[in-house]
Amino acid sequence: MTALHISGLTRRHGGRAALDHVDLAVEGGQFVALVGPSGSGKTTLLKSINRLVEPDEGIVTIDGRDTRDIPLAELRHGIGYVIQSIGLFPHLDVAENVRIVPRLMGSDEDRVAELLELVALPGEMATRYPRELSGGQQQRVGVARALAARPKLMLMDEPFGALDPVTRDALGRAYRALHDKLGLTTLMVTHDVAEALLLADRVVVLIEGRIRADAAPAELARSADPEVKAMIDVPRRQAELLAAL
Amino acid sequence: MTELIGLAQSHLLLSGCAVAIGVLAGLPLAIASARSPRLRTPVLGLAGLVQTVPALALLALFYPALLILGRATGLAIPALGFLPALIALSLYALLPILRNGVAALEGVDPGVLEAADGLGMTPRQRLTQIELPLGAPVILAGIRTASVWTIGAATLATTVGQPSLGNLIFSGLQTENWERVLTGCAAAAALALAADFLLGLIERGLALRSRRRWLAGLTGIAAALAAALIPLPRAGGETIVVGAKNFSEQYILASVIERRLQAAGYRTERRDNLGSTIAYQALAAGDIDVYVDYSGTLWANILRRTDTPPPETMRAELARRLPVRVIGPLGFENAYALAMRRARAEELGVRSLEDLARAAPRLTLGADLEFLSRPEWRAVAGRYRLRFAAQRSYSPTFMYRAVTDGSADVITAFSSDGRIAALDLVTLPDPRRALPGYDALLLAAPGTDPRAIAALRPLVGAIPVERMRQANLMVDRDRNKRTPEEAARWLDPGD
Repeated sequence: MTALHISGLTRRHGGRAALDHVDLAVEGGQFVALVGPSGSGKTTLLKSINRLVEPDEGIVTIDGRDTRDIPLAELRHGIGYVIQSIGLFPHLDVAENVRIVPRLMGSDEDRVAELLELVALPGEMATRYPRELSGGQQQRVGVARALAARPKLMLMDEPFGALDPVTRDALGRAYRALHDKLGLTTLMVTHDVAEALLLADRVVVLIEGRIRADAAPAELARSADPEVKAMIDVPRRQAELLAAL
Repeated sequence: MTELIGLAQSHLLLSGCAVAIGVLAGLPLAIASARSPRLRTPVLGLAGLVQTVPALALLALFYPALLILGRATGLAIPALGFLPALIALSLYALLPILRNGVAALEGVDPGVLEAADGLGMTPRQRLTQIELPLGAPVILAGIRTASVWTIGAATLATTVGQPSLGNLIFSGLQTENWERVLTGCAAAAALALAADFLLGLIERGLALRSRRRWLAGLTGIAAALAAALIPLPRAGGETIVVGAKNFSEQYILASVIERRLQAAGYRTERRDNLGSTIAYQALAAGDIDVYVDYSGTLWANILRRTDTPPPETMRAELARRLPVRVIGPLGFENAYALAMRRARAEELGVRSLEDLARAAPRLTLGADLEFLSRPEWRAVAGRYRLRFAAQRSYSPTFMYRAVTDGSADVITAFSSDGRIAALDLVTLPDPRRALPGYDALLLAAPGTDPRAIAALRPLVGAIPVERMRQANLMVDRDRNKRTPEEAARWLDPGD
């Protein structure tokens, strides 16, 4: 299982620090949710790990290896990456999309059927084009594509943010099951605090580029920090109101 | 028909090569511009600037440019024909290819690009596997626009001596052979439509990912270009290139020269519709081998002389000073002569250029396209203090129309032109000898085969002015028109 270490990570945007000396250690097998208001640095932190963003200071290591010492393509082939806009390649069918990373790595192993089954898509989807799929189906393909090269680390940036609530809930739980089954290490950015609390083992709250809170969901729910408390109170109050209907 | 096919072939080949170069240069530039905004503005700006230069001027500019380049480098760079036409048209094809290329690459969904990067594609893999395939329909649309423009503009390549369907249009226009003009236009339009259709097939094929369609389009284009390369059956022997300027007499004389050379076993090629200076420089540079020019034109434009000695002195001086072979005078003169309708001249009491100077401020001058920028005009206007109310330029055919319908009162007629008598014009005498003599001289390039020169020598002194006028009129008149080739056969029946 993959362990991730981040220390002193800093990234400046103009005069402002998007990330301000962030330290974070993630054990192999953990499911960590990154939450926080817009502009708090969640996405920058995530992209610093696969070097879509180059930090100004600080070190990221994966299983003890500094990410700057790993060739870029090799680093990214080894990390699953799932984003809100999904980014399926529209000119390739589902099978070609799923096979892309192994193909870039020079492997001709065909796991399309297995991967589609893993994300609970029927096998005949393989020959469809992305435009013929629903949003939920597209993101399932996105997850299958990210898993195709058997990464141990998954980076997910608001992966279910554009989906309707029912699909979103189903996909979130399906992914959590996959995480456990495959022994993945997952970092997931979300602005949905309820989703973070319900899916993750550990929730990291970023505010203005710094880690404000870092705890298991149950522990975080009892936080005394007023800003953290405010973030958690919203879904809690909604749940109470819903329960009282 | 053979002529049409031959012209269509060279038209197609020229356009095809120009678009191919446009693509080969335009795509990498588009890719670089889409990556770097600093490159983008100047590159697109420059391509746009080229587009604002009229195609005719762009073509004409490459003649002196290549001539200078050839002199500066000492290399044998052909300044006339295929090369200048190709460069100008390639530049012309560049803009739509560049503009669409940049738009295509910038139009790719940023989410798709982020995914490509995040999955570990190298910039090159991202370009070839994602951006180019996704941008292909837009890129193709640019190539399509470029092809249609280029096929249209290639008709103008005629003016720098590159045979194209424009030969039919330009010579048809000069001899008022509208059938010829229409044939040229229709053939060029047909080529453009066919190219547009085939490229459209590829474009739709790529958009719909239908291999059958884009392969069909590609095959069609390959077949057309292959057909353009099939050599037409020709007689054997060495090839002599015969030049002609842009009026009927020049077409007829070029045909006369061709007939003589062919009878002597040579193959001939034509470079028609050359401007006066271009024709002479092309001969000096060996881009054409033979053509007919007029002593006064060479005297004023090449030697830059303003005096007007008698014809024999002028001929001797030209033969001594010009670095080309003067084979000899054909026997007639084609002078610039200011001419008016007889009725109009009598009404105004104008009998010579001296009288004209008094009446000129109320009159309109119609000139051919070159005359007003030639030293002869400065000489005659200066010597007689001519100042017209208005000056207009026409292509020679329309200049004669203008004097008959009253749009112009005075025109710069050609003294060997059959239309002077046919339209009842009077030419005004030049008592102060401002205009030099214009003996038609047969000229050859410095290295021309002596046997070819010998084959042409019987033409020296063989064409009296009455016969030349008659031949010109056969081509220029409205009824019972003849082609320049037919007039040439009448003028010089051979043995």
